Amino acid sequence: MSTIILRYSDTPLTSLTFSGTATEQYEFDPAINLPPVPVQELVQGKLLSGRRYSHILYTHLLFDFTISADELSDVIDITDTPDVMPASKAFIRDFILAKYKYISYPAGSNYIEVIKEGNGIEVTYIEDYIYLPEFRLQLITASPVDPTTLTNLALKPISMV
Amino acid sequence: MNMYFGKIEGNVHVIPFMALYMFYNSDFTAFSNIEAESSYRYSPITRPNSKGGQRFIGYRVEIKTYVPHTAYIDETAYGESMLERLNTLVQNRHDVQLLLGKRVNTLPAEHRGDSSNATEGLWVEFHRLLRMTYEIESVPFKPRLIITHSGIVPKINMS
Repeated sequence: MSTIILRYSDTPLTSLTFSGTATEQYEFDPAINLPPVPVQELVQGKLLSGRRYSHILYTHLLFDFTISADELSDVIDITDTPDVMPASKAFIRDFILAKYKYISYPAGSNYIEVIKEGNGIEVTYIEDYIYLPEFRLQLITASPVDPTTLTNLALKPISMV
Repeated sequence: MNMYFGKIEGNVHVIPFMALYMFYNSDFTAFSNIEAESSYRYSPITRPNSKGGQRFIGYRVEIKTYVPHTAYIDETAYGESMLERLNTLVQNRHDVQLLLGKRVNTLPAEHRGDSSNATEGLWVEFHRLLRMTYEIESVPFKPRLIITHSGIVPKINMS
């Protein structure tokens, strides 16, 4: 399994258990799907004795993937005009704009609440052609990650999870 | 269903590029009896993925149609010249069809050209997805028109 599922909601989910029947979710097979990276916040300093210390306050996981045009242009058909926005692309737009974001990584796993890193939307267009977009999404866990999840996900390619 | 493509006899056909059809604003423009250099090409667009492979994105299309006709400014037949029509097509997205080999040909008999020795036929269709340019170059004794269509399409469409 190398796909992920993104889900969004206007209100916090009451349960993070995966639901295959949820409507506001979409399964993607990103062209670039990097192993999640642990991101730590530390308190560091030096004692009077000269000993250095580094306390881990929180550890989050950073998901970094790129959904390419092959996943976003599915309704551009020879019989359609390319002015119709594909459902997958419309979902990405709604996901980015939604208040609460979740990822099921890999697809079918329980949801993890995430927030988007940075303010902008990283979208590029292959060959500068507006119907071949690529979205790079960097999502970081909203809450600190427990040690079990860290062991299961951190730095593991999605196929090993 | 299993598919086998091994038998040669009866399965390798002569399908030359015979004519270029363009439709815009309910007007039809066709170039037949085109030169043998005329060609079309679908090249896949791919991008590397994180598994060391390539992800297929779509096809880049380029069609070059070499036209021997030199009636560029004559308006007597249609009330507008070939150059005026080409300029309209350059500025507007339009439907494009290529006639390959022998297919039911919608052109008047005197414009169909020789059917050559084609043994099979295909239509290649593009729905408003290509942009067009044209150029005129000099070859010995006369000018020659080259119509180029290019663009990106999600899949190859033949009928």
